[in-house]
Amino acid sequence: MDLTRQTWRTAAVTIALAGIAPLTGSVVPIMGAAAVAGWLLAVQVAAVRSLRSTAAVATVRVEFDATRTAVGNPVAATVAVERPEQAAGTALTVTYPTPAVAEPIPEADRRVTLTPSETVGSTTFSLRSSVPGRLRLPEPTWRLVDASGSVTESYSHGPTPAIDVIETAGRARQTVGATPESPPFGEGANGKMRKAVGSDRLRPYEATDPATKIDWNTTARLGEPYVRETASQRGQPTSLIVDHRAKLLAGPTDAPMFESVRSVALGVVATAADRGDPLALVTVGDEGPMSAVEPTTHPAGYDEIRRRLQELEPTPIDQAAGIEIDHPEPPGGRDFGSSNHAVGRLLEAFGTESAATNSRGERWPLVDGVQCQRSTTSGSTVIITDDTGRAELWAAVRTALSNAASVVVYLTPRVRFDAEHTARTVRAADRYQEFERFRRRLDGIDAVVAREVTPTVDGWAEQPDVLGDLTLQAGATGGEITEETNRQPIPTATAAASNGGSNE
Amino acid sequence: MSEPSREAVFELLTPSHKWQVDGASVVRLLGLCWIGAAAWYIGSDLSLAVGAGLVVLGVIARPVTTVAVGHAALIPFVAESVTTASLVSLGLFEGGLLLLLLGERPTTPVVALLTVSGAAALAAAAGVVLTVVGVTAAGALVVLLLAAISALLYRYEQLSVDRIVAARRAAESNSQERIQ
Repeated sequence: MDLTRQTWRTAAVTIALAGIAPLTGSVVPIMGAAAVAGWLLAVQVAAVRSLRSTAAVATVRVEFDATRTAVGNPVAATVAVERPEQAAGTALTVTYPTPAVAEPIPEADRRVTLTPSETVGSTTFSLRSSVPGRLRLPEPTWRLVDASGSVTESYSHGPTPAIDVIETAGRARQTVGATPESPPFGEGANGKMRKAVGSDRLRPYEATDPATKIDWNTTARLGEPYVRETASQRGQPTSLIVDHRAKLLAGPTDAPMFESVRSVALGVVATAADRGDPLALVTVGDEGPMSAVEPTTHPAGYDEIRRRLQELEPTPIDQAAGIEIDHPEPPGGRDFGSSNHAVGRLLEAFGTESAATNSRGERWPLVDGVQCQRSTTSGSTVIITDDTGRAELWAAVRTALSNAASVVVYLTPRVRFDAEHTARTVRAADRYQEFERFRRRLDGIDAVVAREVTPTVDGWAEQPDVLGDLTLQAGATGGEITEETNRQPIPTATAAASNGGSNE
Repeated sequence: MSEPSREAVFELLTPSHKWQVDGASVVRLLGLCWIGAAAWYIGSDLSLAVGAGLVVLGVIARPVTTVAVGHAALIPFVAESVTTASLVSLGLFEGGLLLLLLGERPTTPVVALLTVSGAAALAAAAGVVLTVVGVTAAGALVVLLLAAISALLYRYEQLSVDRIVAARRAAESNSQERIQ
């Protein structure tokens, strides 16, 4: 509870009257002080009653006009505030703060104000995020003022609904020097945004091709006619391999690294569904391939993949720690779909009988997953994982390439989910540069595109983007980057390091 | 659903000195009429001057301001000697000023009752201290009581609203768990 200026002025009047009394030796000012003080106390008592009743029963509801949206697309949020008439003795304002990862919204649009005696009110505003993940509205701030304007009260309470913001187009720091034969994903050197799913392919025009299939942009760029083929046109499925091992629990507990992985995976599914591309799913846990969906072009199939992804959880850390590397436990709780289908049978066989290992005998579940899909599909492969198991990932990509026409790797840099990142240490900078070098090495392989997945954590974007500084530094050595529009202006790396204070 | 107002809350809450066609303005008008009548009834130059001044001030200023100024203006009535006539004059003006104070918004029965009883209690306490100790202590007592009771109300309101919000949060999380 806070007293308004008006109340302080009234209190000052009371004190002034009480102060006049000794000066004049008269009892009359004391009577005046008592009268004004009595009124002031009465108003405060009434205010406390009305503020409590409003706080107890006033409600706020939020509805989105969609269950999910794409990055950069607006979604309308309608905020409705309601209270019964007996609690309408106060003026109240409910303001939803702008989520940290959303584009700025004028406060007037996010605010619902009810005057005394008004019982309902609403407002609608547009949310737009350039960061994939779960876009969650923070708790709204309530500001109550009693009918006399003497007392105010502020608190935060209310629903914090979230909406999935899915990736639909490449946004990551992206390939330098992609060849025409490389799958044209994401953003190329010309700065134009292209499709995200790894299923397009360019090839030279042949006389039997219809002229409508000519990709004129590529033709203009290369000086000879090229044709763009999607996976569905080639009849080749895209295999989506999603890593959900315990290590992806890194980062904030409310939005760990896995949420970024899930977001990108959902974006891939959405794009494939939009274009009717055949899509298969393999999920990889600490015990190896955990579930699979056969290649599908049916809407129900896409929905099934979506459902699996939405229900997917990282392997609990305690279970992951309990796995014996030399003697893996028999897989349990796995879902390989129909056992009479080739994919299901193969996955089951891989899950129960074999395990890819490195030279030291350590198990490589991701390679298992790739081998499973490689045996049944021959299209493109999309791998979504983090950068901690680099040897394993390298092996997985090589394995995928032995059969797949192209491989797209979405890499989540672990360093961006560690405390070091927020501490702005030089070590974090080094680790990010290591990540970037690794990504570029992967990206340098023919028919492989490696892309960075940026954190999707609510509030993560509030952190100064020290890693962006370092990317710039890398750019000075020849790298090319694409800055995201929602990032803060980036100072120089030197300045960021010197401001860090706790740098190593 | 009504169209939401986009103005700030404080802009929506008009200060109490604005005249409107409502109960508060009627009470306020009655208070001013009472003061004018009292001044005319007493009939002295001083009372007429004070009465006229308070009526004019009461029209343009907040009632609580008028009440404060009125009490300062009434000091000459009992400044030199306490007589029956001076007490009657004071009482007549006090009635008008109290009525005027009740015209300060929000004019509700609860606020009116609390104002009258609170003012009476404070005045009685001040009167006791006045007779025992003196006028300075009486004035200080009124201020201290106002501060102490306000502080208690402040703390009570803070705790109770916090508890209400916490209880609602708990209820909502419970219902959310049941749904899941």
